[in-house]
This record gives sequence, structure tokens and C-alpha cells, in this order.
Amino acid sequence: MRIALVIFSLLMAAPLMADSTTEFTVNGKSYQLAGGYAVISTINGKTQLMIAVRDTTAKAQFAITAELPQGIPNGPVELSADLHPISAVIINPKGIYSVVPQVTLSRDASMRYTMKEEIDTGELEDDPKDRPQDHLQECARGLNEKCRSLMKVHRKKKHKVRVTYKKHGPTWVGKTRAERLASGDGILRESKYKDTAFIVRLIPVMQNGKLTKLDGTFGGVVIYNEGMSPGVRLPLQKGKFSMEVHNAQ
Amino acid sequence: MRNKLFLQILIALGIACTQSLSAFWDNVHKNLPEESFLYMEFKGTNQMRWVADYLKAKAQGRYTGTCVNINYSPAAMKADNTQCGAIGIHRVGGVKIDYLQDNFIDHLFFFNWDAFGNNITTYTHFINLRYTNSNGDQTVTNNYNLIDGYSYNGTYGFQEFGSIDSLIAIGFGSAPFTINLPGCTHANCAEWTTAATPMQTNPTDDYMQNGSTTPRGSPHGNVQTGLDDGTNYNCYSDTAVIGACPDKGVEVGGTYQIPNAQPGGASGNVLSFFAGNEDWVIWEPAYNAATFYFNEAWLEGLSSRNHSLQNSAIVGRYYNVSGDQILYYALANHYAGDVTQQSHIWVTSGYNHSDYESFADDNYGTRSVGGSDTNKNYENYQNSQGYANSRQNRYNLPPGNVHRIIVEQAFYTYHIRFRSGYDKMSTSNTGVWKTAATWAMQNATAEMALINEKAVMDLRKCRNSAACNNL
Repeated sequence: MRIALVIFSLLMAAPLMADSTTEFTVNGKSYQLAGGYAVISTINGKTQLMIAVRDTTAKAQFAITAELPQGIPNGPVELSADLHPISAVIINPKGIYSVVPQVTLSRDASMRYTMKEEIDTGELEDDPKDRPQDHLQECARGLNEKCRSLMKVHRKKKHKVRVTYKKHGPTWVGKTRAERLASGDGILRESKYKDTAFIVRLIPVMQNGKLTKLDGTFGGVVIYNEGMSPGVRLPLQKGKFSMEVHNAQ
Repeated sequence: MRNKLFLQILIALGIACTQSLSAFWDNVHKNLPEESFLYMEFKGTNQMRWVADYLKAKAQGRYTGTCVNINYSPAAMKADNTQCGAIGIHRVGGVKIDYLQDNFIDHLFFFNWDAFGNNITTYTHFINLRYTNSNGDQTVTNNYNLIDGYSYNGTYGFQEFGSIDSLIAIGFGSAPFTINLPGCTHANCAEWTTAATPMQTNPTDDYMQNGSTTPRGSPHGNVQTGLDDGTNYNCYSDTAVIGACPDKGVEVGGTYQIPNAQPGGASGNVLSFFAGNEDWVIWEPAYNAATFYFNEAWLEGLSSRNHSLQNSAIVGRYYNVSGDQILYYALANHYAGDVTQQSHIWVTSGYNHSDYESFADDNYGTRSVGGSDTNKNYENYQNSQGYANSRQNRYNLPPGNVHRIIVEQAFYTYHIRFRSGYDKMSTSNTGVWKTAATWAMQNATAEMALINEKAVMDLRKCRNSAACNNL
């Protein structure tokens, strides 16, 4: 969340960063926003990108969050909601336009599950479900001595089973994306985003070996809600940004 | 289990809603308490059967007699809005909470109250038992977090960018909540006066049960939001950007912890934004909301609404409680259902939350009573009997204490994810979903039967004041 704090704080200063610009057309209306930042940080080995701008004049807010699979980019990178964890949101006074992947891959590989295993020992034991009174006439009136004696011989047996509990990790670990999709194993779904799309192309601008600016283009099909009305899918087109990178690395 | 995070918040966030509002566990929430009642009638103990008879007598029938309303939102209005009799009232109680218009959000950043849907009713449908996020980073100081319901920055997958969580983080960047609904004079709060009848719950106040000390703050303006330092109900740190309430909390091992045991501070200190995690939105857990309806409404008949059980108010209600008041405690069964859904305990959006609930609604939600369709009829009263018999917390607790039944269920639900083949959060394999939903449904049957039983037995214990002294 630290990165979010950073970006939201930076957003306050957005108007001062006139070098950053964002353009897009959504539902036929064009926006030109000034200000904003790109923030890249690496948390637990995952490189995360947040691009955010709010423009009080244009009365709109735009943000992209994404994980960068190859770390801090030193060349053009293309991210797609079909294949990458990426989200985008545009907010204006009339409502919100958003997109997240309809399908993402589970990432919590550290989960451990307990599985019960029953192993046939090869031995026999009395079947606890056996009701001797059902098949031994001598037992029809209770467990008398004769009944008990007969039961030693005629008691039904069952295979003796030894129960063990084993731990195992997620079954999707090591599977390819295609294998996961085929089985649903290791897949997270957001069906509400069916038939949406989002693609962003990042073009890093280096200065003295540091990533100082991120240029990019984007577009797709996003969900729009006005008030509590059902969402509709709308084209997001002609997206373009040029963002200062905070804490250039 | 459908929760307003997904029925309202996510709708508001523009998460495609071309589907009807009837999805998201709506029918499941009605079926579960009905199932619990049928279980009591046909498989329960003698006492449970007697309790069912008491309730039927009060409601003047099983599906006929006294009637109550769900009060669907206008867009979701359906023919079953009014349902009658003891079982009908339980069906209404199972889902009604999802349609209460009882939390309002003063929305994003700097725009305005009206920008889009601003009614966010159910942060209160969660119990946050997680103590780490999906990265394994500790988020609470104790083994389990029993203080919070929904915790914005405490969600399991919050740091996974590109997720719904990250979208919510942005969408709700600086969105304070109305913390005093009765005082809200904004036009949008008018929804609350109609849809939340008759109790007109004021969640940030009424749901402070079971010793909650969550700082509520002082309501400001016509929308009655709380912007003070330490107002944990709505203290997104981002509101600090506009000079409101960063809330530093306690740092342990380099991580700022939830629950925030030291609210307040850092206001206006821009540099503090870079120092660590100061984002907070803390909401009462589901069992506190359930306790309000069980204790303050059902047991006390709304005589105090003061966060603690007053035994004197209960005395005699065994005799004179009215049939429609069965709905008071039946509302608790909504939360009881929620806590059988893994996502509501691991506290997260995403992770197949809404898709799993839609799956359950499309299958078990369409079951017919007594049917044998294995794709729809998940009930197994023998299993439910086993689940009920294994519970530590039952009707013999002192009056009140419904939270102990719900929390016990929450722990079972928390741990079922670790059982092989039950983790519906990490897979969209519908075989796993069915296994998880079957387990949830059969557990909910047991849990709600115990709650129903306790609701009546608590009144019975308090037939006179002498017997109503073990609070």
C-alpha cells in the first residue's frame, strides 16, 4: 500500500508536474489530462507499476496498476489484461470506467493443504457396521453369551485401513497457463469483466542510466457505470500518456 | 454471502453488471435459513422441534400467517418481496441485510457525492481472521484478527496489483463514509429512511457490539462524514491528501499493523505518507452486526440500542414477542451465511468471490425443497446434524452471545480452505466449488439451526427476571 500512499500524495502535486500528460477517448468523448506520475516499486520480488493522474480542471482521474513481469523495463513492454495482472480506471463526475483481467493466475503458491489418505493394511478387522442380530438368530434377543461366542466366528470383517494425513501444495504449481485454463486449476475469474479488454504499451525513457519517464499508449473495452445502473461496455481509444517517473531508478 | 462490496461497491466501481441483481448468492441466502428451519423440524433434537413449533405459533404458520418484506432495491424488485409464516420470515431474514441502504460514501477525491452509486452497505459482512496478506507479510499483531470486519489494506490479496483490490484502492482513494446516518440531511441519505425500515440501523454506532472500541469520530457536514484523526471507520490515509485523517497505527517489524491500536496522529504531515502504511478502513465484523440484531432488536425489542444486553428488557418477551419480530434475529442468519463463504473470512475481494457465489446461486440457489437433483440439492441433514453436534458454542450459552456461534463457524470456514479439494479461492474448477458450497450449505444449516434455537431459548430463560441473570 505504500506505493498507493506515494501516488496519492503525489497526485496532490500533479498540477505542478505539467510535463506529464494523458490523453484518451472514451465513449466518444476526448480527455486531455495534465499532471500525474508513474511509480515503480519492487515488493517481495514483484515489480509494481502505478500510473495515476487527476486533473481538477478536466474533472477526471485516470490510473493504471500493473505488475511488470520482467522488472523495471529498459525497453518497450506490452501488457494485456488477457495475460497480465493489470487494471485501469477512469473516474469522472458522471461515473467510473474500469477494467481488470477476467482471468488471472493464482499466485499464493505457499498454500499447503491437508489430504486424508486411507491405506489398506492387508489385515482384517471386525466390521463395526455389522449387526449380528440381522444374520445370527442367536443374537436376535440381545448380545447374550451364545451370541458373543458365535460372533467370534461369524462376525463380518472388513479390510483394516490406516488413515494418514499428508500435506501438499497447490496442484497448479508448475502448470502452464494453458493447462490451468483447461482445468480451471489455479485460475481466478471475474466474469463481470467478460468481453472487456485492455492493452498498454510502455516505452521507457532513460536519462543517465535512470528511468525518468514512461511514455505509452493504451486502449481497450471498459465497463462503465453511471450511478447504480447496470454496466455497459464502451471503447477506450486513442490512449496516450507521458509520465514522469517518481524516484527514478 | 452476496455482499454489498460486490453488489454495491463493485457496481459503483463499474464492475460490469449487465446481469440481474438477483445473482450473487441471493437465492442461497434465502434457502439457507429455510433449510435450517426444515432441519429443526425433521432432524433436530426434541428441543429444536419444540423451538420450531414456538416460532410457527408466533408467526401463525410455516409459510402463511404473519408476513414481512425483504425491501428489495427498486432495480431488483421481485415477486417474493413479501413472505409469510415462520419459514417465510426466515427466508426474508436470510437476504434482507443485502438490501439495507445503511452505509453511504462521500466519494472519490474531490468530486461530489452524486458522482455514482454511493450506497455501500456491507463492509459489515466480513470477519477478518487473516493475519498476513498473500505475500506472507504480517498485518496484525495477534494470531487472528477478531477486531475488524473488512479492512481495506488488510485484504489477503491487496498488494497484488492488477487485481480488483488495487482497483478498489484507487477508486476509494479518499472516500469517507457517513458515520451518522440519522443526521445526514443530504438528499441521497433519503434512501436510508425507506429501505432500512423499521430499524434504520446506524452501522458505525449500532454495530459497535461485543466491546468494540473502534473510533467513530465526529460527523461533519450534511453528509455526516468523519474526518478526524483516528476515525477508523473511514480513515483512508488518502484523505490525508486533502488534509483529513492519516492514521499511523502501530509499527511492528516495519509493518504498520491492523487493527490500529493507536489511532490518530500524522495529520498534515506529508512526509508521513512515505513512511509506511497508513491506510485504514476498519469496519465492524459480521458478528457485531449480527449481535445488534440478535441482542438489541430480538432480545431487547430495541429498547436500548446501547451495545450491551439489558436483561431487564428481555424479561417477559417470551410471552409477548410478535411474529414479525422473528425477523429481528433472523437477520443475523444473513451474517451466519456469509461466514460459511471462505472469501468472507479471508477478507478479500477477487479470488473467485463473486463467480463462486453466482455458481452457488445458479445451482443450490435453484433447489426445490425435498428435491434430489445432485446439482442443486446440496442438503444432507445427517451431515448437518454432525456439524451441529460438534459445536462448542450452542444454545446453552448465556443469553446473547450469538457471536460465539458465528465466530466458531468462521474459524471452521477459515480452516476449510486448507483441506485438500476445498480451496475455492485459488481455483475456478467447479468441482471444487461444488465441494466448498456443499460444505458451506450444510454447515450453514447447522449454524443457523443453533442460532434459531438459541434465539428462542434465550427468551425462554428470561421468562422471569430470576432466570435471566446469567448475562
